[in-house]
Amino acid sequence: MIIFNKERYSRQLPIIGEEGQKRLESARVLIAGVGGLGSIVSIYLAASGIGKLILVDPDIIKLSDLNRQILYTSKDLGKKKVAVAKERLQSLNPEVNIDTLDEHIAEDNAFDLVKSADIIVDCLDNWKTRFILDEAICKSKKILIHGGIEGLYGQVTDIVPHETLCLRRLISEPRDKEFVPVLGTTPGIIGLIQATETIKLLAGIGRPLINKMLVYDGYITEFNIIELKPTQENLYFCWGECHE
Amino acid sequence: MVTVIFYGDIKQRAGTEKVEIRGNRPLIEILTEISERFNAKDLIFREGRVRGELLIIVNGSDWNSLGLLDKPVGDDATVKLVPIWHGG
Repeated sequence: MIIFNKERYSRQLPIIGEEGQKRLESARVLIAGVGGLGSIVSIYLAASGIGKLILVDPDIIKLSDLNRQILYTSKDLGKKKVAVAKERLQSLNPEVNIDTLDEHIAEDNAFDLVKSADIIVDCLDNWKTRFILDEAICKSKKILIHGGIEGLYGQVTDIVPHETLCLRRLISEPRDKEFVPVLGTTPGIIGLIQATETIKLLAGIGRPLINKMLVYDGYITEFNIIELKPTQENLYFCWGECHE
Repeated sequence: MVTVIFYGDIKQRAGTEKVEIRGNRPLIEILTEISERFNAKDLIFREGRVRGELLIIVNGSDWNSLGLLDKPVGDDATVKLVPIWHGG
C-alpha cells in the first residue's frame, strides 16, 4: 500500500487528487540524459513525488555545463552527473527511489532500460541515441516525452503508441551538430514542459501534447502548437510492423 | 494561394510570420522559391536536399518525412516550416 506524505504534496493534491498522487508514487520514469533538460525534468519530477526515477547519463560535469545544468555546482566539476544528481534529488525528496546508470544508451541496453519504466523522458542531446531509444520505445510500446533545444528555440511533443508517429517517422533524417549553442533558460523552459507533460499523463489530468508539437521561440517570446495528423497507414508502420 | 507560415530561425530570417505564394505546383518548387526570396537556402536545404530536421507540415502531415516533396500543393493549402532542434 502506498502512503505518501500529505503535507509535502499539499499544494498539488487539489490539482491531481489523492488518486493522481498515488499514480505518481507508483510510477517509474526513465530520464534519458541529465544535462540541461534532464536537470530540470529530474528536479521537478522528484519534487512531485514520482515513485522511481531512473537516471541515465555517461558524462562527467564540465565547467561549460554550468550555464544551464542547474543540478550541479562549481564544486562538482569532474564528478559523474548521475552520482551528483542522485545525491541532490534524494536530498530534495527522500521519498523518491533513484536508480542510476553512467553509460550511454545503446542498442544492447535500450530495450531493458525502456522496459523498466512507465514513461521515458527524452533529455538527450543527439539524434543517434534518440533513434536507438525510439526503436526500443516502439518495441515496448511505452510513452516518450520528446524535447529538443538550441539557442532560444525548442520543441516538445508526446510520442504515444498507436496514437502518434514514432520519433523516427516524425523527424526524417536529421543531422547532429558538433557544438550546440544554448541560452541557459531554454532547457529550463522546455524541460519544465516535459516534466508537466509527464505528470499530466501519469496523473491523468489535462490534455497532453499528443499529436501536437509545442514550438518555443525565445527571441520573440512565442509558443505555438503545431497540429499533427498521422494517417492510420503511418501509425501502423510505426507501431504495427516496422519495429517488430 | 498557398499560405506558408514560418517558425524559428526561418521566421527570423524571413522577417515575417507568413507569406502567400502561388500553389498548384510541387512542394519542392515552393520551397525553392521561398529559400531564394528570403535568402534562406542554408536553413531549408543542405547538400542539395531538404534538411531532415525541418518539418514541412501540409494539412497536418509532415511531407518531408513522408517523401512527398514532389507532390503538388493545392492552392488553398497551408504549409508550416518548423525547424526541429536536437540539443538537450
